[in-house]
Amino acid sequence: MSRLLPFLALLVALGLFFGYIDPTYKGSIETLRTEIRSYDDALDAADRFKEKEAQLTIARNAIPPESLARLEAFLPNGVDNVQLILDLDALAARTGMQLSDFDTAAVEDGSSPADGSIILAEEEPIDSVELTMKGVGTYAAMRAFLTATEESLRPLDLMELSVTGSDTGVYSYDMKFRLYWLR
Amino acid sequence: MAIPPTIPTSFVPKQPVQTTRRARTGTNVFMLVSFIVAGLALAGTVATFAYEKYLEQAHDGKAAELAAAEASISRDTVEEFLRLRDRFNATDTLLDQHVALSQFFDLLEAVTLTNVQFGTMSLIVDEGRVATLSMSGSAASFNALAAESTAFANEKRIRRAIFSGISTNETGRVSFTLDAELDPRLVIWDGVGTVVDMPAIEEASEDVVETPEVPAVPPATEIETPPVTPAASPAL
Repeated sequence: MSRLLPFLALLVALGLFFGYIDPTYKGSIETLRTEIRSYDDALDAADRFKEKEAQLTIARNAIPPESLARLEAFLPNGVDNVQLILDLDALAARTGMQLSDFDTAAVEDGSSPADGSIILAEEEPIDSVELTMKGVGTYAAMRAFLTATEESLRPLDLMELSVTGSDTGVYSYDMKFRLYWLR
Repeated sequence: MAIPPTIPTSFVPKQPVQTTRRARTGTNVFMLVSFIVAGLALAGTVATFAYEKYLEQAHDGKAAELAAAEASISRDTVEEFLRLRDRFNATDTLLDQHVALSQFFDLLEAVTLTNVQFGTMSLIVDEGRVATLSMSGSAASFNALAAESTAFANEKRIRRAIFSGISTNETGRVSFTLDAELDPRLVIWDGVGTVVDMPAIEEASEDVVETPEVPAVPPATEIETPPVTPAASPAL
């Protein structure tokens, strides 16, 4: 019997190693270690995020609120073309122009979406739409209106302009503006 | 002859060979080693079990820590920062490509001669900010038209200026059409000017919109621009 004891001991040792130690180490322990490593990475990222967030908050707070408001007015969250038409009409009246026949048109671009908006670049989430209108006024009034729209806080790109004359010195204008907003 | 008693009768030792004792010692060593191995395996099992439990606790602790960190992150704040970044980037692009045709009209007023009049105009700006220009007008004479052609040819920002459809009408004036391309430098805003708060334009006072002085337009059928006299009008 005593001669069998060493063999039994070795058998038990092998059984423990191959039955528990090795599969546990390669299995659940390795899985746990991998998950803990990923958690550590995520926690590091969270720390970096908090640092970055603090930096960005400081930087944003350094910008005057009125400047941020102007930036949002420059590129609003929606097209808001109705208000823009009202603003343009008021501007035209002030510069001696009369506007009419406002219409929002799809951009003539094959890649543009069906809703008439286009994306300037893949990395730039901007949509745009074209606003057409007719105008009547003198050359001076048109120049004043044009300059005012060019210098408006909200960018209005005049993509098409046609001028037809008359006998009275008052001209007819067909204009197509492109306006933008942040998607 | 008898062998003296001092001489051993055989080379075989009279003491028993201790082969059995050697075998017993080897068994003991093997047993000792096997027990040590078994002990190590047992200790390894305990250590593995304890390590696994330790890792489970660490895992649960990290998961809770991560959940807390995740909960402390405001998605609204992240969204706000992302939109602010997008707004800055997009604004940069839009300003770089902002169309301002006043520059073209300033130039047109400068290069148009007093005895040349433009009646209609069509201007289309493409995505690359190159503008296609098409105008029709009339000149007092062929000399005036030739001078106008020279003035356009000397302006490098107006490209491919082609006068065509030249004919004399009943009044003796020379009518023509002009097709040309405008350089993007003449189309894109040069950054000079006063930015006007467009959304607040309704509430703004009259002096918010500052408009430049515009030359008075005479009551004529055609668009007349300020007088510019060419240095020399080539004779036909």
